[in-house]
Amino acid sequence: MIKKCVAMLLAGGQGTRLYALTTRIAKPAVSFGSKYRIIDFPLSNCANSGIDTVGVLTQYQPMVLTDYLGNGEPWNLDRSHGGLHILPPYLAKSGGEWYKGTANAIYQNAAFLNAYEAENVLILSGDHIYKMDYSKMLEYHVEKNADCTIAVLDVPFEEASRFGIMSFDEDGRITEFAEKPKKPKSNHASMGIYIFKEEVLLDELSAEERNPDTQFDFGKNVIPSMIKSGRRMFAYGFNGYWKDVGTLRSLWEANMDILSGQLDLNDGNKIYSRNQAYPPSFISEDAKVRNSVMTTGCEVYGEVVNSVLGEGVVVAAGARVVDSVIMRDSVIGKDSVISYSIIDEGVHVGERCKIGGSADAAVDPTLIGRGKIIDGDTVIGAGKVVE
Amino acid sequence: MRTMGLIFSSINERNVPELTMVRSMASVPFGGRYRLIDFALSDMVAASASTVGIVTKYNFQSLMDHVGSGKNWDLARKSGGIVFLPPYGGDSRMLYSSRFEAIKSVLMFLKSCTEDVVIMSDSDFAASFDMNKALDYFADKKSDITLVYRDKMPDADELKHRTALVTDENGNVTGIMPADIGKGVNKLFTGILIVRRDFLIRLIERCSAMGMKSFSGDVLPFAVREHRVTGYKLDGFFASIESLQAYFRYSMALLDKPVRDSLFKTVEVYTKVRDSVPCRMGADAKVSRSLVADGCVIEGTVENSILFRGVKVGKGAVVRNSVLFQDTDVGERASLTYCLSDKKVLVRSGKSLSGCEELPYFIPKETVL
Repeated sequence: MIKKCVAMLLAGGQGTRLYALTTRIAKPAVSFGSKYRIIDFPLSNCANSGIDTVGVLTQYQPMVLTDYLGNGEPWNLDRSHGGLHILPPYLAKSGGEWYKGTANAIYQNAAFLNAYEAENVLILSGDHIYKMDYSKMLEYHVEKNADCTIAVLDVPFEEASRFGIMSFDEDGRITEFAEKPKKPKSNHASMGIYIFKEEVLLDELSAEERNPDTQFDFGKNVIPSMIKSGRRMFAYGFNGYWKDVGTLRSLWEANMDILSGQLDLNDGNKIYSRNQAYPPSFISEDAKVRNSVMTTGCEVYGEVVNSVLGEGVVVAAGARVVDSVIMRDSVIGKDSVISYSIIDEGVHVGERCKIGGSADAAVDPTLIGRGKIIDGDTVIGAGKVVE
Repeated sequence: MRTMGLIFSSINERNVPELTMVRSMASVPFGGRYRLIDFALSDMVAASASTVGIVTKYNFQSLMDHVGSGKNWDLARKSGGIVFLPPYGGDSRMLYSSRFEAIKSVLMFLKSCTEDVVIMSDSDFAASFDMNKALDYFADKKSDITLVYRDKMPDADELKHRTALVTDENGNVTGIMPADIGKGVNKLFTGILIVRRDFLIRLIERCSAMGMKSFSGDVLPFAVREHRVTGYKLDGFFASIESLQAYFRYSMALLDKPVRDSLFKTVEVYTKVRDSVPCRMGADAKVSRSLVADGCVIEGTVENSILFRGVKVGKGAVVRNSVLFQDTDVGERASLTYCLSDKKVLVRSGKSLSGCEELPYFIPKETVL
């Protein structure tokens, strides 16, 4: 069964900089934008780009994630030929081991790529919010006869040292690549989205396995060594919305970008998700809701300003939620005030609590971890993490 | 005891011609994101029905689009699951005109099923109830048929359309008659009944041979005389769509929490997934005592209203005491009071429309004002 392009989605990472949000779930399963989880974005992009075979590589805390993915039906990936496959680390006759890095994770699943006789392999990660038509990138990759094509976004110079930074010639051929350079030579940043020719990818990955000093990482090892050895590497320019949501602040910002309209969810290409059976949201007589988004099952009796509410969130009378992200099934008790905070799923905040600080401050948003019960009259200050 | 369902999708359509002109009764929208059939279907799913036959007549395109393979109800099965039963051309080449003829036309289907018990239901209501309790009652009482009824004095509409039951102290049904004949009888048949499949097949064949014409007029009274028919009382909210006014009244009742809890928290109500974006309320939005579905964009004022998926309310627009179906677009400074708009209605900027509590102003599908 020959597939022109098979996607491999790296979803095994912990996401340590999201603290309590990823204590019990993998980063790609973290809630985002009211009704979504982060992984909905790359998966929906695949669905909207005509890619029907996706391997999802899982390792860290996979239960919520695998349960959420199921047979891939919400993303049109429940196929008899192809579809969504969950690929955890496994034991083999000669032993077995955990995924040692992004490159090693793909290497361990070479059999999956071979089974689909994939001509090209699209490598994705589960920690970015963006909408992209991968089929255009694939066309470019084929047109350039590239060994590897890297999606590139221009970022502000002051942020460039957080990314893989590259230089390329007029034709788009990459001449230099540096992972998180202290002194970046350009602001062309890698988005962590790669398309490889399959045989080139497998060659490079097995070479990497023999390299004693490797960290088995695409950005740190595979890409730089490919440039060194003169492979045809091309940059594919992207200029839409893209955000790495690997930190509390950036996750909060991306949620706020929905409110400001910078991230337009309604631009024609749908983001698909798996959702619970909830009735429409109810806004009561005394409620005040301004500049906010919410999905089904919410009940609002208090005030909600500049905030994002997930499924089934309850904001009791007299409560005030400002500049915050409240994830699914959380309850904000009477007369409590939540500001500049991220409240994870299933949290119960008692009455008259004060949580969070000011969004203008140079600290991270306050975070209350999954399923926490906060007693009445509790005060939790700016930048605190409750786990 | 394995159960299956049989849903009649176009019974009583004449009661709400405004809404059923473009769709079958079963696919009339209700409650912000549902179609009426969602309630009957979800009740059956909660009772572990493994096959659900949907009897259709005409205009069932929107119903087929909504139900699809049945996967949203976990009824896309290798064996059983959702089975559409469109009219079947016999000698007469006529569409069936009564429920009895409809049942006769699906006898083959009933015979091909393997389940023990059939739950039959119309789709002219919105209600959630624990069907398992009714099934237990059916079995405990060793019933041939259990008729599900509401304890309610019929109103004028119900007197015209409904069937009333008389029961004895043991719960046996001793009489069945049109509600307007059984004056003072306060047990209204819901159209939902539980029956053993083999018994139903024999009953239909026998009554058919006897030349009977009507299910509730001939077959059920015959069954009450000859067999063990019991009555099961249904509690909780039951929106019986007898007229456009009743539709509007029951919709507005959803703004009360006990009603919502009864309808949405008794069993999980499943519906077709549309993958709409979350609903968005702008900086000047004023929303109070309203139900708002996904995909709505609200910049104006909304009070005492129900907004289905994808409704837009522009800046300065005011929507009061209204029910707006999917993708209704209310322009800037427009005003709607006591209105019921069907799908994809466009109300241009500054337009003002108003009905009254007893008689909402109905705006047909895809009207541009």
